[in-house]
Amino acid sequence: MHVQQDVLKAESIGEYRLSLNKRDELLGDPGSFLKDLGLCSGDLLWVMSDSTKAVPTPPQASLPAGLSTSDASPGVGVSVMDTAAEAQVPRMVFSTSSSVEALRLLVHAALLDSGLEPLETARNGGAAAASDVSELQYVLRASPGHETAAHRAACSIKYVNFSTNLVVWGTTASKGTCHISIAAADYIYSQLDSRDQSLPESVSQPTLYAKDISNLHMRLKDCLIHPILIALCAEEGRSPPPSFLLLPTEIKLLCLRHLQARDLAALACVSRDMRCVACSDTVWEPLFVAEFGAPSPADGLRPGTGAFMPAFGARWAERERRRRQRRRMLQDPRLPYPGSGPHLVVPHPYYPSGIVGGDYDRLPQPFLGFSGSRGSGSGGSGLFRGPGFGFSASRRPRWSGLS
Amino acid sequence: MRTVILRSSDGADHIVSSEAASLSRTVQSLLEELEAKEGEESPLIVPLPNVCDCTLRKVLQYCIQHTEPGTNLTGRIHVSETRRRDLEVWDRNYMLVSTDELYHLVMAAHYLNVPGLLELCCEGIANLIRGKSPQHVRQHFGLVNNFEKAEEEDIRRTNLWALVDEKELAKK
Repeated sequence: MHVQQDVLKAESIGEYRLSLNKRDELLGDPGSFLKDLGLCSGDLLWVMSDSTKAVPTPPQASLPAGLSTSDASPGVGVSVMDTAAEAQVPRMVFSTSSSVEALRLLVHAALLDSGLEPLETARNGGAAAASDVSELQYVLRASPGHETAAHRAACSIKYVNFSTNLVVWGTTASKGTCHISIAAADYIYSQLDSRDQSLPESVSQPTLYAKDISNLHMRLKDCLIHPILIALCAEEGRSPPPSFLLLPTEIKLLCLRHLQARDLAALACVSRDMRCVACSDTVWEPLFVAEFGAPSPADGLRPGTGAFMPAFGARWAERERRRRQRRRMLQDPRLPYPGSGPHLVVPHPYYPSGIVGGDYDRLPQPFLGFSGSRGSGSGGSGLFRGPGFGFSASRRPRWSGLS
Repeated sequence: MRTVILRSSDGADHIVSSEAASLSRTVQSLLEELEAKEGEESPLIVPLPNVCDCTLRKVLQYCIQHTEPGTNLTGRIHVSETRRRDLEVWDRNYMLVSTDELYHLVMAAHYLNVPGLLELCCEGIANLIRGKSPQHVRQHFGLVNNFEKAEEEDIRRTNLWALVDEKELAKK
């Protein structure tokens, strides 16, 4: 199997290197045969071209059909990925004709990419590849800086096909199971290869292309690979993969600056280490000032004492309590509401009816005429019936029965 | 415009313009030192032992994108306005990376001292935490609850105001 012509299907892609782990270059001439390079089925092959700038046409990589599944571990063929095009539009071409199978290759590639490798003993023939369910054991790749642990923690990844969907279950001994479901239509599309169309015998199978690989990698890593890696590293006693807690404290604080009080408070309840970071005054003081204004000296809040978080919580709870109370008063009609409105006017016992006290008794008779509507009989029609008085009179009839 | 060679920890060289490289203040100060020591004409090679190849590539993408002059020359204000909006969109797409890449990136941005990128990454990490309950955070970040019972009671009581509403929200 010739590398440059059959695998890469490219005449001129410029300078490129082949690698199995994106770092160490494969020895030997890239234009030679697969066997000479020591490649076998199941290997993930990276095509690396050294440049940070865009490659005008990313090399198309595909695999001859005969190689992929004949003597392979279940569901795994040689996958070729191109790192130069990774930044722009990653493209990948598959040797298989089933899109779910191609998706399975992509998941395998992502697992390999993040430092896991399949366990040798799991390669039990190609029988499982054809079925809908297959299972593979993965272990952490031995790193040169770390002596190999006596006990190698393994996780099992189970691939299950559901028509056009692939469900992947990852199980570790300590962490339990996590799973992800991927629809093939989101990431795989088929297209008739222009080169193949010239050859009548190979038209029958459209070539499968991958799209949106970075998105798929992101989903896989967040939902499946990252939890597995954390669990495996913990089991083997290695230093865990980069995580939030391992960042330097100043970066952690910079990140927490973007959060709101509620998230920070929840974060403080996670674990001891988190509490140390999430309670610090450098994040809480700006929040406190923004919410309740600068603290007065009477509050006794000094930066650096760690008192801002409890103070914030107390103030917040107090404010919420008041708000609830106010809302209840507005909604409940039985409780008196101290605002403007018709107040009860008690009639004076010695005045004639219609005169309620206050300034009314000092007004001349014609002014009282407006209140004649009450039927009190005191001055039927006033001369100075102004609109203002008329209005105030119209508000009053509710109490006319009392007077 | 001069070009600078940035050498990552695994020995890969990246050639960028000095303008883009100066977005990193660490590189900028190194460059000034180098220029003073070796003169104007010699090639400038900056070794960056703390940054691996793929992370450096990602950082340089940011630097190059943020130094490219606008191609539209109709008017300065107009250009800066549209360019700003374009950059915001670009930044959003740029941040679509997996969690561990994000951590590598934030470490690199911190080491290289690229303020804009650091801010962007911190916001990305904050977005991972936002809106999660303590249990959810533990699950997502692989953390263990190592509180003693009394301690946990205490901190929960202090932050009850934040946790109570969460339960109510969960019920709805």
